[in-house]
Amino acid sequence: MSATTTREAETTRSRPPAPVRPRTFSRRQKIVITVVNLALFCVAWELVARLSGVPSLLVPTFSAVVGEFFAMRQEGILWANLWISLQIYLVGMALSILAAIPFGLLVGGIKILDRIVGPYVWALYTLPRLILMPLILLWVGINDTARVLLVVLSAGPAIIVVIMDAMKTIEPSLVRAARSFCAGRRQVFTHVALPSTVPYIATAVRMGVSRGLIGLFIGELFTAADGIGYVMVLAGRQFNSARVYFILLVFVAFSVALVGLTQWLEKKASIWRSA
Amino acid sequence: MEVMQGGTGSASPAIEARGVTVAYERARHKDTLVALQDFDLEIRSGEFVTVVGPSGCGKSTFLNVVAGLVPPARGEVFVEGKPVRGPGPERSVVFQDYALMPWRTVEGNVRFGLEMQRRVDRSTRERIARYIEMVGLTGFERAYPRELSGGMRQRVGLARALVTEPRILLMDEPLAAVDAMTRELMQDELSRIVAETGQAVLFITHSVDEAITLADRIAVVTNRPGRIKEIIPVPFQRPRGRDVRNLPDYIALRDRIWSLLEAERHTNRSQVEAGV
Ligand SMILES: Nc1ncnc2c1ncn2[C@@H]1O[C@H](COP(=O)(O)OP(=O)(O)OP(=O)(O)O)[C@@H](O)[C@H]1O
Ligand SMILES: [Mg+2]
Repeated sequence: MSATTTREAETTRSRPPAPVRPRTFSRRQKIVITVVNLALFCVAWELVARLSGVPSLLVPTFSAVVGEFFAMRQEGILWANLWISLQIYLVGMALSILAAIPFGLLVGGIKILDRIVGPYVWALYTLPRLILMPLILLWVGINDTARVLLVVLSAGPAIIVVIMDAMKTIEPSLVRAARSFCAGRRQVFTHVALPSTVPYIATAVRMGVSRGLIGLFIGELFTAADGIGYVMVLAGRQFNSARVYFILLVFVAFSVALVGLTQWLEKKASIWRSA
Repeated sequence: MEVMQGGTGSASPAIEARGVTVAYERARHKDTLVALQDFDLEIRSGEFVTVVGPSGCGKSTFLNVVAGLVPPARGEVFVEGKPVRGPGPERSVVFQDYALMPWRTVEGNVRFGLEMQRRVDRSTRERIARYIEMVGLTGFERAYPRELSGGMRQRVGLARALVTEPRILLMDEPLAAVDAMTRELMQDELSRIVAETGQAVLFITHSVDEAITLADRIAVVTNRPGRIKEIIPVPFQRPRGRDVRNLPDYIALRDRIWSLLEAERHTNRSQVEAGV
């Protein structure tokens, strides 16, 4: 940008100068980049699988993996199992988000609670979810509740931890300004603490969304008799590697879509934060 | 322009500080830092007092005590005759660091104080527009603070404090970041409003000219721990124009304040050299 460009339109006479804008790709460019990227990846996969001589049990061809979509549909095990997994995931995430956000705000906002409850939340957050498996099986047995619980225990602590931290980043000078206009504790919470954590709440949800997916997957591996993860386990036992890869791709595509959605939410929630 | 009329008798001063001492606990240094010591100051109702003094001498600290945001370790501040126990709607603060809500637009920030004091009604929109115009930010109502220059942000802070039309204004270098031309305009505007409404003002500044142009009295503060070094009355009618700056009295006053500040600078240096 040249130094003479200015934002004030009224100072210009003839042609308005180009506005200063952070350099980003246009929507069209982004789509083109993504499509080309994906296409190259698929082609490369197909070629490597065909030409490298690696046994197809290890790396099936891309076309074989896509073929599994039709095979599974034919067998009638695709949509039903996807739907079950999706339901469990959505219920688990809804519960996590609804419980973890207020919990995180509360614990993060009240010093004494943070001291007492904080360490437990962090412990739960760092604990590998697999360790919880035997316990969950003991508590609720092998059923849908176990899977929902795993999603909640995976996503919940991640969301809480991010929000708890966000409550600590609140600018003291803003609290002071609010107090100078006679804001009480409640008003400071709703008009300073809450708005300044909103962008972090979006970040927290994004963290939770991907951790919840891991929880779902673990749940399906160990505690399920249906669901897309269970189908994957079966396929593995039958050495149907193309099917395993296909389901893996489904998981990846789903999580990429979710992360994209939450990133978009995050951006919407923090327009005031950065240019 | 209507201003809330004093509930308490106009006989008591707007602000009366007696022996105010403030010490900050400094956890990292494992000590306490005495910012103000036995600070006395009285501001009569309708009076404009400017405060000048070396950086770090405790001016902002004093303003925060009057605002009810920092409790003094010793001494007491009375506002309209009542001891300060916290902030009140009869006072408004302009903060040195602006302290604007980054998620609120200019309009939203100016509205903030009225919202906190639950004073939003049908006339609010028009009132906000009026003050935004006063600080010269018409056309930027929907801008977020990050989209404004430093001087513009500071003027939002000014409008936010003025819009609640308090009886007492506490202003911490409210024009420090504003460019020279706008600064003079704002000084005129502020003088006019304050004279019209009879607000009492505590106004911190580093500009000696600003201090003289605006004030009834100028309080010169010593080095930290801050105490009143001298209080100097300004002999010109208020509100006053810039033309007073050519009067011999003005120039004498200016020299006097400069030499007081200069003296503080020297004591500061000798303190440092003596390892105090
Ligand atoms: N929250 C705090 N904790 C510890 N020390 C503080 C705190 N606030 C201020 N101080 C110290 O108190 C002293 C006075 O600070 P204050 O902000 O009142 O100075 P000031 O006169 O307003 O300075 P300036 O003109 O630079 O704004 C300084 O030495 C500062 O380091
Ligand atoms: Mg200061």
